[in-house]
Amino acid sequence: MSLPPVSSLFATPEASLMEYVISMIRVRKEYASLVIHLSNLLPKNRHTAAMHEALKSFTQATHAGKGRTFKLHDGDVVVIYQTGQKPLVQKGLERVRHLFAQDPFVAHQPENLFSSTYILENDYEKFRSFAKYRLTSRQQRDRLLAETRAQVRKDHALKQATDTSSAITPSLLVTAQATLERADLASLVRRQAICRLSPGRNTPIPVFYEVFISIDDLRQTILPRTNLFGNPALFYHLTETLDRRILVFLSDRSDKTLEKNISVNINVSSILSPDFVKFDRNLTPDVRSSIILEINILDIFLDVERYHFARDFVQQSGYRVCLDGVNPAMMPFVQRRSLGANNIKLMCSDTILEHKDLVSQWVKAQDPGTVIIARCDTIQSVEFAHSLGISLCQGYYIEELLRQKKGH
Amino acid sequence: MNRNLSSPAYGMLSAELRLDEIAKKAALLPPDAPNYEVLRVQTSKLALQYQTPIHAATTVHLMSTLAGEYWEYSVALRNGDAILILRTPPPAVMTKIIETVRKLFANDPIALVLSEPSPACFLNHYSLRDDMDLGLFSRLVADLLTVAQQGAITPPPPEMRPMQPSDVAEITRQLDNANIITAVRRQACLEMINPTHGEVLFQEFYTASNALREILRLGNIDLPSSRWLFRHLTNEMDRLLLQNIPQIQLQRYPVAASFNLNLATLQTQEFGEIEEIAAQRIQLFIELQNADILANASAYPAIRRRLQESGHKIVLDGVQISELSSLDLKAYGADYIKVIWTPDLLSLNYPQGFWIPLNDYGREKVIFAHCDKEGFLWGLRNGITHFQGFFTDRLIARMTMQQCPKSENCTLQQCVNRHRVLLGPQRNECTDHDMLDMFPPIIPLTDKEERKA
Repeated sequence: MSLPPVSSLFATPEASLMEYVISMIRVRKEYASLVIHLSNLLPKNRHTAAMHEALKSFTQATHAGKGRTFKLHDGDVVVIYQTGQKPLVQKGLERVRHLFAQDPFVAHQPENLFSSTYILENDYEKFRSFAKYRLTSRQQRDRLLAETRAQVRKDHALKQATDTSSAITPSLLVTAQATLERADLASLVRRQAICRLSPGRNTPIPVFYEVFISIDDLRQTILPRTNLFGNPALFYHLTETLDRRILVFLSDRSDKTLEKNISVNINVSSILSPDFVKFDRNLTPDVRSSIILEINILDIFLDVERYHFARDFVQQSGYRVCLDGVNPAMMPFVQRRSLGANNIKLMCSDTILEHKDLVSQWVKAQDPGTVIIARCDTIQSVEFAHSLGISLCQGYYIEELLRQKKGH
Repeated sequence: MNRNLSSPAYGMLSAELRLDEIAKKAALLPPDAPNYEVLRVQTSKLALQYQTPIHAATTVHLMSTLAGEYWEYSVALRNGDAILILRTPPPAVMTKIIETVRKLFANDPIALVLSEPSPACFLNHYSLRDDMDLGLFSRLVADLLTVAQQGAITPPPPEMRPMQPSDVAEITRQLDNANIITAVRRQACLEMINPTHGEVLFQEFYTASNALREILRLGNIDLPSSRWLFRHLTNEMDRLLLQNIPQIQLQRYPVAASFNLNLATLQTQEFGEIEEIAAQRIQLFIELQNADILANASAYPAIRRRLQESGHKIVLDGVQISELSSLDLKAYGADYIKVIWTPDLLSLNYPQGFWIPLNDYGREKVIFAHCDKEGFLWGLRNGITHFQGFFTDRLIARMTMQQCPKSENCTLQQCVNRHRVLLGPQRNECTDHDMLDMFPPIIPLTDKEERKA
């Protein structure tokens, strides 16, 4: 006779065991239970794979509703089986002993401490008490854990409210946005050249200038001691406000920024906003074609369809589009051609230098002439770019070369 | 006689009044006056995602930019129409604008239909020197004016507003006090073994946004429109869902259950515990969003391997047909990909290129989501074997009712609705929870059974 299944989704094994024991009251005579005290093993020996193997030892004895296995939270295993399956269960138990033979508990303790058996015809109440005890212990443990977690969250929230050195929160974001709307951004705007640097030459030729707001300086201005990157989703929301401000800044005719080839960071939602239309309205076709819009790859993947529309809109208007913020881990997912962008910006890091083959293959697929390697802060990063056929570089090292060039 | 259509600004209904004046003036222009050409883009004819004010405004702006010196007037109307009027434009300029607009909406097969003055087309071109075109344009403007005047009398419905950071703090606080499980719904994914025999692959448990809106009394706050803030909120919802999962009490638990979770959640201790419990009796299907995978690209391969090695499955969730060309599906190493069904696929004009990535990935691993009956049948004809949506919900409810001894007084819709909820009065209306949680296989019915169902 098969037993009814337990009823709650993701009930703890202890709760499932209790339900199971209750449900079997009428058929208990046909069943026995084996408890294997694996909680006594060294924790390092109770790793997931080993426990999985241990449970597998009883698959045959408990299949087709003839019984069940339960792995309790401390590692103990309970096998409930039809008494007719005893030889298979014994075989399984031997296999489990063998699996953990190296553990001191198995090696040095008597066999009867390794497991206990309940013949449910006689021991049902005793076993039911055992199951109840295990359930109560589990519930106490979970309650304690929940209380600890709640306290940790409360402490964390309190810390965030009183100590601004932590990650940005929604409340801090409200403050940051309000400050940002009023702040004079002119002093925070930076320009960094993206240069063509041919192999064997130390004379970078500026191709365009990235115009951006220094996030570190911004943080100092609007929320000193707050980690803006601590919550990426909230930080990216803040960048939408930054987009609006930078568009206003660029529209200011007294600023000469637009007289050069430039690139600006912008979100898809900002492109599809009245602010961008307002910015664009005052530009001539020549100026549009001198602007590269750098769109962060994460922002694109948030809604690829919306990106398609925004990309087509700006490309039809004359701008160029650059995919920004690509790191080696993202490479398998990002292809410039399929995203219809003109350029792609790869962030240089130690990881890139360590995975030359993978990066080289990827760069080749993007067309090295369209790839910009950013954060080139050392000569090694430039040499690496050259070895991949990339000549468009950006970073402190390039800035230094430009300074030297001007010095001469 | 006035030889051009320029005019001062207007107040309320200004755009419609302005167009009306242009149409009236055009009718009076002498034959040697400059010709005026009108382009009208009806975003309301396009797929839903293009029917937003910003799409109309962007279209007007792009068309105006391309019109250059030939620009006479342009406007985005409240009904989603983008209208551009040009003064004596050379044919090349007209062609350029029309082609550009078509390219802008190239993902929608409607945009491939040639432009005609016919209102049925998404892009209408009127040459106001042509009497017939002028007549059509005048009639259109009169209609627009009538609708706008009616709209001005009737107060507009309250507009939804994007979620703000200040809302997030409040919503998070409310979430902590709400029972999120009351907003959790389930929907089965059906695997069709052959055209008449299907089995449930998994039951998906998800937080329904409508139910959440009710619980949190969100009023006119539009959650998904602030995409980054919404992402932040999903992390909070994941946490609450995991904490409350044990509350989900079913008469029969599914062999496989799917959850929409963020990768960050899969690295928490709470999920570790769920995973440990699941390892003993239930297969998990974890549905991940593309953007989330990319944001956690370094951690993703290890998490994916860990889950797959434990026998669980990864589903790449929420992929739009139009996105397929931009994604390298194989790179995700997902066991299934959930593609949002769109009736656009039924159009003979729909570009067939979308099959290339799906064929490469394997049609047998594609799940058509949000699928109606047409989508289900179309999918079956085209080698798709996994479906999820209202139609499959009805199939499952139908099979359940056919087997349920207590279904005499139930309607099919009641059975569908009761399958969907996990807690509360709607579920309790059903007197046989064992049947409700059974999710039986789909098999052909005999005539007698058919009549009963």
